[in-house]
Amino acid sequence: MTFTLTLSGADLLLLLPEMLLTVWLCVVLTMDFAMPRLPKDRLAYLSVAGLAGVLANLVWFDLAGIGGTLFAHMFVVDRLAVFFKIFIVGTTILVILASVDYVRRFRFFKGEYYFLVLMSALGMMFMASANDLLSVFITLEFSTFGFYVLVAYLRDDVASNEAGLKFFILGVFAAGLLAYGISLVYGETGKLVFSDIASPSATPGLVIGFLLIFAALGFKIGAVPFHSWIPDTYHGAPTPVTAFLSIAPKGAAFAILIRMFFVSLAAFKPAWVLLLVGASILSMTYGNIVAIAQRNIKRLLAYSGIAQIGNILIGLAAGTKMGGDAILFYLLTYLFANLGAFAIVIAVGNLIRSDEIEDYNGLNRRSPFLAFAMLVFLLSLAGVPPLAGFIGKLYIFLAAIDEGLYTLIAVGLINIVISMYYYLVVVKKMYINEPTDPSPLTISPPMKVVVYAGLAGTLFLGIYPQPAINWVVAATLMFSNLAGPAAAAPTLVLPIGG
Amino acid sequence: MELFFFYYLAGVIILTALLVVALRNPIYSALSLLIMFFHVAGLYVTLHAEFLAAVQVIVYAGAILVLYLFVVMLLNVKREDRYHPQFPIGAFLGLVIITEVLLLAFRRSESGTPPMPPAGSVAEAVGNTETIGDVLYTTYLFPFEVASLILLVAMIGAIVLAKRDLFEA
Amino acid sequence: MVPLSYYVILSVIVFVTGVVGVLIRRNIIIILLSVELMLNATNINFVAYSYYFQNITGQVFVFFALTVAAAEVAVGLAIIIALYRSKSSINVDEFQLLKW
Repeated sequence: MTFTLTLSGADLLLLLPEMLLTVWLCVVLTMDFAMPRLPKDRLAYLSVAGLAGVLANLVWFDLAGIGGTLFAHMFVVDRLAVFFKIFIVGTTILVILASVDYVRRFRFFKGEYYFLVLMSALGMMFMASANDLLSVFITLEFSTFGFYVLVAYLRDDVASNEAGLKFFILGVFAAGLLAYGISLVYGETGKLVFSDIASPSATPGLVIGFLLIFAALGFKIGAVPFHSWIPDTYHGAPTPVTAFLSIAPKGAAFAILIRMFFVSLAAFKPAWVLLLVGASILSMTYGNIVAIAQRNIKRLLAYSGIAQIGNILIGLAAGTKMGGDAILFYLLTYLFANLGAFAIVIAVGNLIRSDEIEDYNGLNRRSPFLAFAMLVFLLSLAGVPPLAGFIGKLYIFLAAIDEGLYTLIAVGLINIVISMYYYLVVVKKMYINEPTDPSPLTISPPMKVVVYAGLAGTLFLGIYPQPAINWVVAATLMFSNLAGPAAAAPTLVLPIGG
Repeated sequence: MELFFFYYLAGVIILTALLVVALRNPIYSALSLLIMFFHVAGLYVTLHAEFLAAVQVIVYAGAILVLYLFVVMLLNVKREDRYHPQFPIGAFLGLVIITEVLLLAFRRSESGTPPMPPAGSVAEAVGNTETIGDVLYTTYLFPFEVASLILLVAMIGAIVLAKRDLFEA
Repeated sequence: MVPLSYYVILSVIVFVTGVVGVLIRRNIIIILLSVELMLNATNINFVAYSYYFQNITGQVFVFFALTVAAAEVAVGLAIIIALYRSKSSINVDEFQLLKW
């Protein structure tokens, strides 16, 4: 019995972005050890150049509508996958630019940092294309390994080591749960591809299997009750790694969640809607309430991230195409606002060596630009018009209204009010309180690029969201059969702004 | 006869698994895990998966466990380890879950055989190694390549974290 | 002929033992060994299902799960060594710097 490998040029084209990135990261690694006297900033810019090339490639895929499946439906390139890959590559570019200053404080292994960031990005790009459970498992583990090392990167700092260890233990525990869940699903259906495991009968093995898989993915996105690793990991890890960790893996995990729930579990929708509603309410409420008591800005953003994931889960609980669109759009707004906020935290942390909120007192006096940017980002996270976060939340709530999830919306609205409190506390400290040391702060060019990019994204998506909305609606066209009553319209006319 | 082998292997596997969790000395736990790995490999042989049995012994027993023992010896891990204060809850919960799942499994085994999917039949005459080899480099090429990248990350990661910083890198 | 459910029961027992081990033991090495128990339980499941379905996919998954387990052991032990160099202890409860 011999199988032959049939891989044509057109098939290989689908793998082009990943192949480019793989070649590029080998180049980065080689240059790092072949040219030891090279200033490590050059490696950062080299990585960004490579990523820009990959991004251009992906935009071409999106515009030209290139797509297909490979390897017996294990690897799929469709507009959803391309969206998430663009999301991940964009995040990585901004994270690398934001880490240029921070990397200077590593004593050793500066070059390998960029290599590991690129590896994790590659893993997450694979995750966006994963269409069966074996691919999900292996790409999830691949992307997480890079993060285990990155979180523990500051070898002399006990907080970083502990954060890395805690993240690692919970991470491999989740991996064990994922593997066992996959084995149960395989036992019930005999197959692993998402479209093949959609079986109409809910046997106990299938239910437990999918619950375990959901638990593992819930760990990845940081939903309650799988969130316990988030505050300590975000606190102890190097801040650029925290920024990366707070955005990209969540996006990649949502790609998998969307495919799993909308394709494989479409038959059991009433059951998992309840599950997601519960997870969403818990995440939003817990994240927001505990965030109020935080005194460290990284922990504050960690808990706020948990609450934001609760918001995104509302879109998943809606279970319609519009819910999927809302998730993608919200992730875009979250990318710009969260990355911007973390960029400011990195910049301030580099300059004053502290992440306590008390040290943000009077930031306006020391750097009006940084304070203004932080104001914009925090207000976008809170959902204030005319910023991107407002449109994101509106979209999600509209998707939920269509499905009649009124309790969820009520809890969501209450939580918006609660979250405004702790975001505005930081704003107040920046603008009204007096700084302990009024010397001015300046930031380096790469960091300025990141902050400007965040500001541009947040303002553009808030004031003129139509192009982005068109993009996400086109990305989820394959789920049109899940449409709720009013979800098939290609253009969403919003009563505000554009 | 097959049943007798299964009972022996399963019995030792369960016993050593419990020992791994219950023993206080990490070295004893690691050694009982080693015995478990060998018996799992034996289980694979009874399931006609000889290649996997060999890989199990080589990778798990021969590489992973040796690595654990190295680290335990290197770090001089002491045996004064007490259980977590929540030990009774944990053990009780474990028993409850096992009983529940056993009940589910018995209910299922009475209702009939699991579904038999049509595609992908494997002739036993071909042999386990050849079958896996056939499919690993063609249908499953994508996970295979990702697995090689995983090993690269693990290698670089281990060096970055554990190498003694003797010189400016 | 050994019924399939026997293998599933075996893997459930080993899996739950592993989970309980992760939750109640404080020594990092034992926690990681318990995770290996969980992964072995998964592998037993896959090989059993693969044999009873006459489908090779299960065994291929075991192959990759083995790879992932090996890589994760390498990374995990590197983290432990790095931590041990900062603090001379590997008991989980003694890490008070960051709250659980």
